[in-house]
Amino acid sequence: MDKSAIDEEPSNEEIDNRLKLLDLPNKILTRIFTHLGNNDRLRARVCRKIVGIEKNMVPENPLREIESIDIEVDSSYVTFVATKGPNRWMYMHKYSYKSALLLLKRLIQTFRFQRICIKVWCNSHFNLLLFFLVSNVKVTSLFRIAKAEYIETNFYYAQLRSLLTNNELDKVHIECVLLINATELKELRQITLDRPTIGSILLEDVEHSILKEFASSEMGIDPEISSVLIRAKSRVQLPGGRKGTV
Amino acid sequence: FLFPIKMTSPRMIKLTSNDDKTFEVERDVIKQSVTVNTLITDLNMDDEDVSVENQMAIPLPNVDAATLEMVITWCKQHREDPPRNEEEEEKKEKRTDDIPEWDKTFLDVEQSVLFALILAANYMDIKGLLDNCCKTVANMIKGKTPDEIRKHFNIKNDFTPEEEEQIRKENAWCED
Repeated sequence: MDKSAIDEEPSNEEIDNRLKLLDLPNKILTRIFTHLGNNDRLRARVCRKIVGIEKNMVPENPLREIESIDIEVDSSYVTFVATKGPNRWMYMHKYSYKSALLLLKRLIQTFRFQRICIKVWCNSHFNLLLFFLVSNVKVTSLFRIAKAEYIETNFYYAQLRSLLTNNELDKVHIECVLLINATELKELRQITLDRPTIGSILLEDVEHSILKEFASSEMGIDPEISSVLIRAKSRVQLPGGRKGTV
Repeated sequence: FLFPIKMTSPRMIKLTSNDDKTFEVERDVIKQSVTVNTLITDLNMDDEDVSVENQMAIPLPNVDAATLEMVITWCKQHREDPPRNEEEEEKKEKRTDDIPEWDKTFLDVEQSVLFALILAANYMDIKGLLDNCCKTVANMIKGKTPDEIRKHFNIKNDFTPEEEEQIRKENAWCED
């Protein structure tokens, strides 16, 4: 073999004529893509229009075009029931808390939902609520059904939101969400009527040990704490760059 | 009593590449190619009375000599592999971390060579080779951003910025 031929750099024309990935037939590209996970497939998909990836190989957002999501939380799972149009079931799946939060985060970053309803069937909503607050998602209905009693917490939630909406929401940083029991909620309603600075009152009531317990737990909840509902603590970036507690 | 043992040399098959180079390969080695195997059977080439000199060479019009040589090397290395059950293979979890070490080294070649090998494996229907080649390419894609994939495979981006933004938005839901 002519050694000079080996040492010679290939010309641009030679390089152009070499076989490339996209010269492979679609059938083979599909075979290659079957070995990739969803994220890698999508990244490959955005490389070029004609990249030979079959449409059914690209995972589609299971919740695309969804107008509303109902999220039911029980002691072990978070269940999503998504609908497009009234009464049209489209997607329902159970996730662990961790997966649910990840999925929600992605969905909320991508879509604007007309309605998100969280149904909390036990006291395991700590993580979820925290997440929604941090995400600034517009939650229009948040309530809890516990045993025979139905305690609507929209009122409390509305109070919290109203505190936040007075500022630019993007600058709001919710540090934590705590829980209170039904009696405390009743008291809280009265307090909020009397005292517009609900946030600071709540802060005084924070039980730090419980908070820490929640925060350090993978599931974020202690199943023994059955009477708790909502406790909230928020730190808000006030207009003008001041940080403060509301 | 001592009986004379008949020493039979392995049956050889001739293959011709598209650049007219002929290779002699053991029947037992090339049986991994379904395409060649079918041709041998259909053309009755397993007749032991026909010597290799008088045997017709099987033309492989889609494979060049350099690639065919590599295919034969791979087949020799894997001649003892148990036959693949494609149904079982389909059911298996798709993974790319199970390429044998020998294959990893063997397939550590320039992209154009690897792609030629893929086309040859596809044409000659050698599932094991095709699979390991595809896994090797998949490993090149894994974990790369679209820009990195483009750069690695010399892919020209033909999206307009608006189209790219749109597709990114569509895909954002499952981005890390």
